[in-house]
Formats: sequence, structure tokens, C-alpha cells
Amino acid sequence: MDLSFSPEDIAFRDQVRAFVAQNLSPDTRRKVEEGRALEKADVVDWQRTLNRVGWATPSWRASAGGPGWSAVQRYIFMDELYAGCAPEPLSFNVSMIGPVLIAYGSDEQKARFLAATANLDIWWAQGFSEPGAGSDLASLSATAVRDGDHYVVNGQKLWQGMAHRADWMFTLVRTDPNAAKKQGGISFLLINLRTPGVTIRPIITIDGRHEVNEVFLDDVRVPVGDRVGEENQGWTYAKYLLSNERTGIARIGMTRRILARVAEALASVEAGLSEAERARYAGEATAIEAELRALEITQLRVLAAQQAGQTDPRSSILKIKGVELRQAASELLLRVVGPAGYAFAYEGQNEAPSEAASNYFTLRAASIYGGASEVQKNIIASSVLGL
Amino acid sequence: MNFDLSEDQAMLKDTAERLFAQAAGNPSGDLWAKMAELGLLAAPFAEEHGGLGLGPVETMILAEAAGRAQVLTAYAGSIAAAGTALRLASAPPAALIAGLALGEVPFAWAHEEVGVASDAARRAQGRWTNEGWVVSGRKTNVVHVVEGAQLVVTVTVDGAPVVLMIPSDAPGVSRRDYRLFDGTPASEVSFDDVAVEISVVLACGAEAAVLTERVRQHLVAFRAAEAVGLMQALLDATLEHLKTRRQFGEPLSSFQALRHKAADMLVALEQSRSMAMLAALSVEDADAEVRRKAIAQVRSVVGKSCKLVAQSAVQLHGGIGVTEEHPVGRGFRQLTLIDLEMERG
Repeated sequence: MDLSFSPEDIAFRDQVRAFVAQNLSPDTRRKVEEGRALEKADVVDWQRTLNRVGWATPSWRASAGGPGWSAVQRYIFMDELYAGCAPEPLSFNVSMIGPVLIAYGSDEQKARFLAATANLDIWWAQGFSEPGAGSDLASLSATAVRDGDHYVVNGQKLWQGMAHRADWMFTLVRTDPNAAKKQGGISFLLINLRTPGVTIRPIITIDGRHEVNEVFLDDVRVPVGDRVGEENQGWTYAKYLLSNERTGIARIGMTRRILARVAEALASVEAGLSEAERARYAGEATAIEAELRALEITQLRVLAAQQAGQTDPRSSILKIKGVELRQAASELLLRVVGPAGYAFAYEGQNEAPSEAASNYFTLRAASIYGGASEVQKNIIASSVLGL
Repeated sequence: MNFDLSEDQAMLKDTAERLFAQAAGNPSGDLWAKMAELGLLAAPFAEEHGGLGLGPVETMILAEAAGRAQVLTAYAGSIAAAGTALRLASAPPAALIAGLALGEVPFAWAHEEVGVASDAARRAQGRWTNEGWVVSGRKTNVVHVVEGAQLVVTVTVDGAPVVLMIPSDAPGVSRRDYRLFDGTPASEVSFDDVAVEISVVLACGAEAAVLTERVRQHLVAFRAAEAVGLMQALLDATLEHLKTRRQFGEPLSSFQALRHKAADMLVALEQSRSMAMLAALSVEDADAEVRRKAIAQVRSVVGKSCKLVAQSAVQLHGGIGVTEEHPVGRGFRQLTLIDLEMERG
């Protein structure tokens, strides 16, 4: 039993660290460090910088244009991105649609989309949730009716992250309303968001930011060739996508970054804290840091199991605990920053002095998306505990 | 990076689990003698002192197995605490270590005092006379003191810490025996001008401070692993109960509020399992700061997990969980004690 990385892994870590230090723009770095919103160009530039050396798609195997890294290398890579205050590769492209196309896409789709997805020439949005289908995703009601070489798609999708920046959307639609099980009649379509009949409407969230949207689909004609895999088999591909989405999302490095801001705020005079308050907050930070250390080891244990070829439903633990700690850290930061954090940057306004409030509000959604914490607990109860 | 047990470690785990399962079914048997026979008492000691030269991971395996079976052993106080003091002394007392490893010389760790923080200067005093050392003071909750035991005692001499050994039957040593709420036999041990020879000193001054800290770290590592075994036992019992017990015409496992509590128990258990590993892999680290930080983090996480798992197990068992005879009721008390120990350090 050994917690240390191999010399090869350490050399790899140093290489990633140096690359981030040399290639990340100081402005993007500052924004990430301070928890500020990123412009589209910030994300695209960084993704392309990574892609130039083949690192933009950490989880893709080498034959699909990825770096072909081990689970441990992927972990080290992401950890170094967080530590260096670099953005993550765009998850819609890299963690969600990319692996689905690699596993289930046609050769034509792979040729058309994979390289462009890696380089962020195409920005993808996720079109899964609907007003009536959240955690119970399979009850979705958007429909696609075959008309010659096309599907005619109608419906409403909700919570499309960054859809206003996106070019394409991968989406789930009902192609067989009479299927015996509701999971049975679903297909997985790729929709060009410039197609007539697509309307994207912004939703401003409690963090004051415009990140999510609702997408209306009115008689949108989608070529049959833009369906992934078989008709009515979309649920299989969606489940595969969701299992990838949920893997390795403890986002420990992100929480560590928030704790660094807590330490900074505790040391500053601006917070105006009494010694007793300072000691209490420092104690809370120490407790979160301890849980984070435990989670890091838990994550490495799950990775080691994955490396050995086992899928580990315990990755739900990473999601639940990872979010809990990020939320706790962001709440602590808000309390420690004090009055300096009350000013708020509403969408389109200048930067606020502190993003502590905005970050706290943003992170309330983290226990809802990507499989709500309650859904994760259901998964643990049935898949791990056998209840 | 590797979380697998080696072949030898897997065998040790097997042996320990079998032994402790038997002992749990037969509380009157002499577990300590059987542990000695199997070489388990010799595990952490150097081969030149009659030990097996094994490390903290092996100790973790033993502790977890003991917790899993819910057996009370003297291993924590005797081997993990007192044994560490002997082993890490600048001049390890070879004959005594060999005796401890063989199960012939019992040892206990006498450190806690009422009204004194666990890392503060000891109120028990030693002074040097022409004939040797004279010790006075009182220790509380000294566990598993048996006839003929040697006590490893922490005292203050002229304001400086000293760690020394005192036979529990030396003139001037008196005991009041009782049990802790987890069932462990414990004693209040009083030293009334007890005269001992100079050869009994294990460490003085700065060395004694380091030695005491290291003993306490090893104790935390052991108890953390024991807690992991206990939490697993309570989670297993709880899952079994949820699947078999029926109310409102359905098994309890069909109620989501209860399923979610069970999931919370698993999350807490796995976090603590990670920390028991961290403790084992850090407790012998050469860097004192690395050890200190890791053990502080272990205490924080394991203490909270003990509380959550123990309280949830009792709650999900309902009335049967608060009875003296039920393993979950006993496990609750065992985990509560570890929680309190983790908080005090």
C-alpha cells in the first residue's frame, strides 16, 4: 500500500505544471483564481492551447485522438489544472459528447465531429432536461417524427448550460411514444442550433450570471444521419454519457482553490473579524480541508479500481461529498469575506470587488445537476448497498 | 500508488479476521495468548528484538479486523501505545520488548490525567534522589492493566517531560479498577512516592515530548482503523436489518428516508477508510510536520464519521438498537468512545 506517485507520474505532473505556468494567459488565470466568469474566448483559447499538444481531451483513448492517459494521469492532469487556476477542458465537448461519439458514433460522425469537438471549433450544449423531466429524465416528452430523410423535432429543453455560446446540441427525443417502457422509445440526436425553428432564451440564475438557457424546438428538421446509434436506443447512450459525466467529479482542486481564498481573507484586515470569529472560521476551514484530504484518497482508491478495469459505483460518493465540500467552502468564504462581499455584479455589469457571493449562489446548483445528491444516494443504496 | 494488500498482508487479514470472529463468539477464551501464539503481538517490533518487523499497514489490518468483530483487546494500549514507546526509545529495552512480543510481559500506557489536556505538561511528578527516581501522581483510564503489568508512565521532572516504566505491583502503586462505557477494563492508577531505578527511563526532555507525541499518533492510527472495522460492522448489521425488518407491510429498505441514511453511512465510512490508510501511511513519516498534519486530519474526519455511523445505525435499528445485548448498541458505545478520543487526541 502506497500513496505516492511513481517517478513517471511525478515527471508527468511537473511537465503539466510547467505547461500551465507557461501557457495560461494571466488574465484567465486571475479570473479563475478569483472565481470570476470566463468569456467564451477565454475558454476557447485555453482549449486550443491544450489541443495543440494533444491534451484537450484527457479521457479519450489514443486511437480516437486523445492522449491515451491512464486514470492516474488524468487525475494528475486535472489536479494541476485546478492548482494552476486553469479552466477545465469544456466538459460538454470532452467528457460528454466526445466519448459517446467515440463509442457509438458512425465513422462519418467521427470524421465530421471529433477533431472539431476537441479543438472547440464546435461548442456543444447538452439538451437533456425538460420542464417535466429532471431527475426522472426518461419521462422526457420532446418528440421526433420521421419525415423522409429527416426527423421533425418539437419540444422544450431546459437548463442548457452555455447554449448561447454553442453551435450544436446533443439531445434526447422520443421517437416511439408507444414503447412498452418509457426508456425504450428515446433516440439521441445531434441538432445544429442554427437550424430554423430553434429558439434559445436566457435564464439568469441567482448568481446573477447567464449560464443556462431554455431551448425551444419548433418543427426543427434534423437529418437522420445526425442520429447517434440506433433509433430508440438513445437511453443506452445517455446512460453511458451520464456515467462519464459523474466520474471523477469530486473537483477537489476547485475546493482547494476556494479554501486558499478563505485563508487569504482570514489573513486580511478587511474582513473585520474578531479573534474569536477568526479562530472559529479557521477551525471550520481546517475541518473542510481534512474532509478534502480524505476525499482525495477516496478518489485515488476509485481511480485505482478503474485502472484495474472495475467500474466503481462508489464514484457517486465522489459526487456527493465533492459537492458538499465545495458548497461548504463557498459558504465559509462568503461569511469570512464579510461586508466587502455584499456588492454584486449583475449580468453585464463590471466586476464586483469579490465573487464570494456569486460563487456561493452558483454552487447551490452543483448538488442538483449531474445527478442530484438524492439521486446519487439512490444509486448508492441500490448499486453499492444492495438495498 | 497502490491500495492493494500484498499477499502476506492479505494472509494476515484472513488470520486476524478468523481469530477475532472466534473470540467474539467466545469472550471467555484467552484471546491475548492466541494472539501471541500467532505472532500478532510481535508484528511491529524489530526482528532483532524478537519482532516480525512489520509496519503500520499491518497494524491497521489488525485493528480493522478487531473492530469488525467488535472484540475488546489490549492491543491499542499495550502494543500500539506502550509498545511504540519502547520501540521508538533511543535505547529500546530489548528484553522487555521480547517479553511483550511473546505475550509474557504485559504492558499498559499510563498518560491521561483528570483535568489536564492530553498534550499539556503532566501533573504527575518525578524527582531524582540518591537512590533513584521517585514518582507521585495519578493517572486515569489506564486500560487493560493486568497482574504483573509494566506501566509506561508520562511524568514531569523539574518542568520537563519524562517517559519511564513502573511495574504495576511496585510498592506505592495502587489501583482502582472499573470499566469504560465500551466495556474496556480500566484503572485509576495512583503513584505515592514510588521509587524506581534509573534504568526505567525511556526518554527525557525534548526526546520525551517527541516520544509521547509519537505514541499518541500511533494510538490514533490504531483507533482510526478499529473505528473503520466497527463502522463496517454497524453498517452491515443495519443493511441486514433494513432488508429483513418489515413495517407497514414492506421491508424497511423500501423507504427512501432510510435508504438515504444508509448511503450517508457508507460515505462516512469510506471517508474514514481513506483516513485510516492515510494514518498508516503517514505515522512513520520521517517529517514531523507531515505526521502532525495527517494525524490531525485523521482525527477530524474519523471522529465525525464515528458519530454519524453510530447514531444512524441505532436510529435505523429502532428500539432494538438501544439495548445492551444487541451488537449495534455495543458498537454505538465503542464508536462513541473513539469519537471522544479523536476529539481529545
